[in-house]
Amino acid sequence: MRISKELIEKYHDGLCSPSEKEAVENWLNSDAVDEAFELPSEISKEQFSDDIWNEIAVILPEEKQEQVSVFSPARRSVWRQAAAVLLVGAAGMTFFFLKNKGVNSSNIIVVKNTSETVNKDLEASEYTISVGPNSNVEINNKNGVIDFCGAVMINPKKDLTLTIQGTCEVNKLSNEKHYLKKGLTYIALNYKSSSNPGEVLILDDGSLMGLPPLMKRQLMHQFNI
Amino acid sequence: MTEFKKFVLLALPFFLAVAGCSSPNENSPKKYSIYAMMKDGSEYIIQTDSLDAKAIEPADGAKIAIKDVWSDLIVKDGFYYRLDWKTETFFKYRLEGDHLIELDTVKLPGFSFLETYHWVAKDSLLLITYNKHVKKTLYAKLSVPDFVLKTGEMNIPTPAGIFNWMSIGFAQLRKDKLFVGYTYHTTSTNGFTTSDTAHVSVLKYPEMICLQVFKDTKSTYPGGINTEEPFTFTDEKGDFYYIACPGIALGNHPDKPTGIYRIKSNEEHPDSSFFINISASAIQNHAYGIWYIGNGKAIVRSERKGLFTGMKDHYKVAHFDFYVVELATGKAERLALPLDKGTARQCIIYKDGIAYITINSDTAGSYVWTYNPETKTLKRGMKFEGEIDYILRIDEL
Repeated sequence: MRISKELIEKYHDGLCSPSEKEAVENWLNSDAVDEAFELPSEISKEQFSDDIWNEIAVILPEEKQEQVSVFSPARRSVWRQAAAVLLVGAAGMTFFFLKNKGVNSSNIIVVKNTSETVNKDLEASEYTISVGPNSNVEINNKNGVIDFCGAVMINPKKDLTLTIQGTCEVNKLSNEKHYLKKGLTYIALNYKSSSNPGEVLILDDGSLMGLPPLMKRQLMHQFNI
Repeated sequence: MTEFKKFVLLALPFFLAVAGCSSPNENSPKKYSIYAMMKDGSEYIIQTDSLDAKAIEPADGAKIAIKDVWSDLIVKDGFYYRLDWKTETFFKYRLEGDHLIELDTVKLPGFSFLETYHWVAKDSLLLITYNKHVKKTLYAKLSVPDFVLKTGEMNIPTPAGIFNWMSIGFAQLRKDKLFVGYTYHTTSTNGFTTSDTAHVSVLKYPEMICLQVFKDTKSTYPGGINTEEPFTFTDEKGDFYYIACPGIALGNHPDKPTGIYRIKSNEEHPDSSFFINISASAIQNHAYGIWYIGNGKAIVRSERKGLFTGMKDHYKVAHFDFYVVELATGKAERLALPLDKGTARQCIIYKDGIAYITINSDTAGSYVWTYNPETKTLKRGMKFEGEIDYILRIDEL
């Protein structure tokens, strides 16, 4: 079976049939990284590797991103061919890692989403997080603290208690614990209103009705609630 | 398998479905519809013929599977209508027993959320949306008996400069002129601001061609999302009134006052001599929603600053007052009701000289209160039983 980008995404979303799942896992576990991989027809392997790297860079710990930044433009061009092969494999392995093992509990995970329009998703063992445009989040799995600035959606996989702090304004850290119920969708928002530029809101999807309709609709649209 | 067995296999489910239907009398719509959210988050619609009964238990009604539908509903003549933003599909429902039955659907391409709706005729519904992707204000005129649709673009200036979004707060048809109220926004991932100007365009109907635009800066965000609560009314003389709501729960431009505007029945522009500054009246706060109760009086629902801290608790703390506003003088008088909660609600029906006001109080219970404007008497009436959290809608069917 040819392994396509779409198939890997499907695998990541847990939507593969048993045969597709087996094919992806065989591909992931095989040494021949790109033999069975089908590139989208309209883009080159280089472009594809760049795209994938841009995607995975935001879900890697910050230190990893800094390591990447040592590639100077000149050196980067030298590494392009090798990077294409390695990154295609790395992308698949990253999906596999996130899907099956969750976020490494000993790490502080930093996700910075600089996109103007697209969310960045992260799957941890106890919850999934979707980081909205122009938003960032830092997750400390040791103490259960989530610091964020912007808009973030959290879907708990079990009942859990998290300390969720809005960090757009550093002098307003609340250290407030929130009990999140499995099955509900939560929005954490550093809401900027005219009277209060740094209000931190943690709302389940049933409580979005408390927001101004324009804000509620933006969030529903952005996070597909 | 024999032909007979095939027939039984295919026909039996249909037979059982038909046989299981209730009689027409049991399914005929009642006079009023109530939409409630319980403390466990479940939502129910229940219908009743009387708001003067002793008590009603919303959880005896139809449990609504889709969350937060209350804010999307249009209710008329026993039917419920709703736009599903994800599928851009408009639905028609009827309550049968304890189920909302889907009766008809139509695709509304380009419609994600409704800005406002207006019944331009008894069976003709005008739906308006702003599509930010194509930067156009779109309309759909729907014949509700057969769900036949006409769609098009409205000739209304789209957001420009610092503005990237707009809200259409009302549409009101008078002969061949359509008055449309709107304002502009600047949005970001986690907030928005609103222009300091309330706009009214006069369009030639049904061509939707712009004839004139009127701007006013006394208040901003004229009208609102009228599936959530009403923001306009027409009085006995045919004068049209709309409330502008710049408070944090709607326009988020709280430096501007909440205000009531008018377009007189014999004029085709906002009446520049008329403006009721709600925030400068006895109310001294922002208000949202307006309900006409006849003879030149309307009720507004006003927040009370100091009892909430922001949007974090605006919806769940009981802080809303109800005031009767005399349109001729602008005088506002508070109704002696318990403080109400819920940021937006369809909460008043005016019928036969009586205003039925649902009050959602954590300390004083949830009741229908009746207000007689003639005698200025308030009475506590029907009680909402059960673990009520919010009475989100009360509609006349």
